[in-house]
Amino acid sequence: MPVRVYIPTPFRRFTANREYVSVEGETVRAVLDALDDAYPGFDHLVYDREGRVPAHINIYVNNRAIDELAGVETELSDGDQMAVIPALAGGAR
Amino acid sequence: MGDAEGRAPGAPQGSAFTPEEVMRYSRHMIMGPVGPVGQRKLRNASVLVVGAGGLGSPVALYLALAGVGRIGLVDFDVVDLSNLQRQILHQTADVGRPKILSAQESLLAYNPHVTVNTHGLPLTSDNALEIIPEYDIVVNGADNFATRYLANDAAYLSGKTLVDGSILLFDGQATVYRPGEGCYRCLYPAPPPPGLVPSCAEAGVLGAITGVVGSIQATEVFKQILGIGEPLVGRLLLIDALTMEFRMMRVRRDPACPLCGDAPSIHELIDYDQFCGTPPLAVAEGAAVAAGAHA
Repeated sequence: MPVRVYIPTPFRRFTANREYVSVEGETVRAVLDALDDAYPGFDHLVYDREGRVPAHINIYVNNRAIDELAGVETELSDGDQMAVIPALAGGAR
Repeated sequence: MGDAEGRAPGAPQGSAFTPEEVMRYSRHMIMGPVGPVGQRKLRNASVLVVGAGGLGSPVALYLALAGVGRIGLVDFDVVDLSNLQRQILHQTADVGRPKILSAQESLLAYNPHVTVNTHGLPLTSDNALEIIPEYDIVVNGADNFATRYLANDAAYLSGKTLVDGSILLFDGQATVYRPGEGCYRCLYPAPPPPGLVPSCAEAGVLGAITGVVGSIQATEVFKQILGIGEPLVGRLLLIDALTMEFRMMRVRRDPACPLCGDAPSIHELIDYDQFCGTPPLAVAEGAAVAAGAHA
């Protein structure tokens, strides 16, 4: 089941500048693993050393944070859209 | 503290709008949801803008143009040539000058009817709870995570609405935190490890995206002051300039949030440099001197 993942510009250097990537996966975790298979190193963005999604990154499924759902074990359905969004700090300088 | 107040010489004061003000604000005042009553709300409002740079410039500019009565600026930096690609309050001749001074001059040149208060030092745990309570609304245009968490915590502890915005590369984010309806810590409970998320200085930023996000922040300020529309509360707006797509993500108050959750553990400001693992901000020499001159 392909899932479409939105990649914001700060992470696009990891996906060959692709803004959307479609990978197979039944859960968020499976999709993240598939992303890492397709783009080695992607898992360093979305997992910390303990294998958790770091607090400065939010993963959304259909615009809802997975923290509201079942975390990385959130099950996905056909047509679901994911987004991996980091905190940004730029503003003044 | 390096605070100073600026108002154009001879600028009219008082409760009644002058004919010049009526003409100046006419495109707002003829709109039903604004009208003379709304314009008076804008004039009676006070807004603190944290950072007089990429985001703070368009925010403060639109606040001044609209006649928001008192605008506060917090910034300790001096204008650098590399700022001028996007920071519209500063000009080439301002390079090397404290940003708060060039910003103040620009705002008063655009609209001499407003007051611009300058706070020429970094926002810190020592001064944030003195500065922020002086204003109705806080706008976050900080360029570092330590100041973002500080502004968030201080606004919440002061009972103030925080209009948040951030940018990097071709992306922007904007949301509004009203006390009790979620905060920055609910969205991002902890900052990234130092060096993991690059700054605009390291990665770059499209100048125009600062105008997009800053204009959205200013719009949200107006809505808050006027009490109109649906505020960007509980929603995070994501802007991708390359695809020109706007996304709206849900933001919820986290019951486990250490600041605004059900059993908060943060009751006062903390050491945000330690929290973020970053060195304290270094005050540029030129800015420190200028701040002292305006104390």
